[in-house]
Amino acid sequence: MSGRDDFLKPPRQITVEKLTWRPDSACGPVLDHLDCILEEGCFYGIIGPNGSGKTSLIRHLLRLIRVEEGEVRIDGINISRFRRKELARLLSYVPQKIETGIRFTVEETVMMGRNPHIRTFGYPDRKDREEVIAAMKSTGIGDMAAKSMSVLSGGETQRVLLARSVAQGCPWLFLDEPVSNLDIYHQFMMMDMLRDLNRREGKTIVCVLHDINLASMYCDRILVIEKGQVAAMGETSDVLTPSLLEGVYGVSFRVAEASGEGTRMLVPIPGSARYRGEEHRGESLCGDPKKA
Amino acid sequence: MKRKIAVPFIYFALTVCILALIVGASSVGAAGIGVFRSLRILFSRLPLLGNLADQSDFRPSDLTIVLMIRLPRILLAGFAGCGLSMSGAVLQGVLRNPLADPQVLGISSGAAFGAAIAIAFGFSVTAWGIGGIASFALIGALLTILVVWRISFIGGKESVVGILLAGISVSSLLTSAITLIMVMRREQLEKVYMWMLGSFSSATYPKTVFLGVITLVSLLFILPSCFSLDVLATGDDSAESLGIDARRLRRRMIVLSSLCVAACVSVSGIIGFVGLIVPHIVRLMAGSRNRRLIPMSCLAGAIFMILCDTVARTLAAPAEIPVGAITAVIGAPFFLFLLARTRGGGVRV
Repeated sequence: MSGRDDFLKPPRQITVEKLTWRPDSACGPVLDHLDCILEEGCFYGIIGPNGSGKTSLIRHLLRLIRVEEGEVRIDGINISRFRRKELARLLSYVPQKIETGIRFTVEETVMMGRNPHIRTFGYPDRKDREEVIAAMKSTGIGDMAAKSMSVLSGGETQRVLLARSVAQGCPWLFLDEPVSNLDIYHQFMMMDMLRDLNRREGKTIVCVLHDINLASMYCDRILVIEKGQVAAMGETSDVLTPSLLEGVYGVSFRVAEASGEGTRMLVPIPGSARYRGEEHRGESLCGDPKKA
Repeated sequence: MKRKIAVPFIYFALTVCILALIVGASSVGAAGIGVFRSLRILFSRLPLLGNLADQSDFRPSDLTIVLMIRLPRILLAGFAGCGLSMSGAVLQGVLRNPLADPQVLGISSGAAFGAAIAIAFGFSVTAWGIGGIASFALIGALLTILVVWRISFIGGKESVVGILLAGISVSSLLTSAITLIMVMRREQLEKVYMWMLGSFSSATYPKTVFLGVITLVSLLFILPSCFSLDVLATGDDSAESLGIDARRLRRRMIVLSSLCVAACVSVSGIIGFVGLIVPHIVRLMAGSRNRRLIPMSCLAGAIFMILCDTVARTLAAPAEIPVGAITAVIGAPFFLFLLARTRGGGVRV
């Protein structure tokens, strides 16, 4: 493996340059010359309207979609040069859900996170089992080990998938709308766990979110995606302003200072959503680009 | 779900079961041969220990019946059960569908089509010593795999649903073609129909060796990928983000299990439900992990098939019941039961 050590170092920076993606089924480019730089140690929130390309972006960053135009580099190395297993030791993905046609238990599912560390054609050993038990404990699902994945609630499924990523042991975690289907308790529990991973273990979190206020409460940096491009990027308090959000979402916001912790809340104003017609690339016009 | 039975014990019990069945099945049939006599006959043919057996009272007719007629048939049934169950287990995981079985890819229909042509038009080509009909069935099955494979890539995107739809549509097309052949050659109708119901009555050692080699080689290639197969069953994105090349693994597994099914079907006809129910029974015993599921399905499939074939040839002796009818009698109610439980969402596995 000598000579490939660079491919296993924790990434300090992921650079995206002129990333463009035109799936056959969409009428326009879903990603359109997108540029951005993600840095180690931060808690990123990616926000933007439906169909703006948030999911497509992280799917490219994880190489779940092959980069066709533009470039994605991990510490200067083009992402296409990594072997799949090498990538899976650096970047981990927490999907919203997984297929449960074949019913595995919670523990078996978390064990799958160890796959990048198990040699080809091998099986989990004692160290893998220890990692899995630790991951389940840290996400509070230790008592569900023998439960079948098919009977879990949305919140439990998310925790199991997070545990799987923890067991995977990657320095970077990518999450696609991890809290969209959860009640408020599970939303905050999930976000707290992510903050913990970020603060205590120094993991970089890149998280697609729909709730602007959750993003403002938890994220250090915000990436706003609109029509396949970066509309804004930077420190949370600089980016999340009523004027920027109005431009992106077409809804007016006002700022409300929540008492106590000094949290700024952005409150959308009812009745302010205006129809944006053709220029807004709606899902109904082109089909859902995420599923392409 | 608690697993109360220890894993090594299950393996041990299954192996003992197979050996006992081989001995038991070789002693029952039209000509009665005692269990101990057939045991001694089989024992006498073991490589090193064979000479220890007392061979003085063996009748030549007993030797012929046990070694030349019953044993190849039992072994052929065992390998077919093993191959079909293994392929069923693999395909259920790869296609992420607990109701998938070796027939969904149209392989069986392809084999039946080949066999129907051979029977109806009296073609006979012998390859690898497995006989004319079996050779044609094998060719039909292999061509069908190729066609389904090509069709499932139409539109450029490969998807699990695409593969299933391609298999189902090719399968119905071939079934109609077989019906046409049967109508055109009405005098051969019964023969074609009986072939399609499945039987091991034409078992020979060359067929057994042919099927045994293919089944064991496929198993050898599938076993090392068991853990990856688990991960693949959770979805393509999920598997790729964990370092698995989902498409390549799926293709490799589909090719291996298809070849295995093609070999099984071509020597025995279409035997339904084994590939579907055996993996499900094993999941209930030992969980969903392929590392256990696949080897245990092989053993359990062999047991189930030897049992069914023995019933098939003894129940109405000297007449034979097609083994496909026996497996379906046991399999169909189980299938419906499974379907009902899946609909209710309450499957414990």
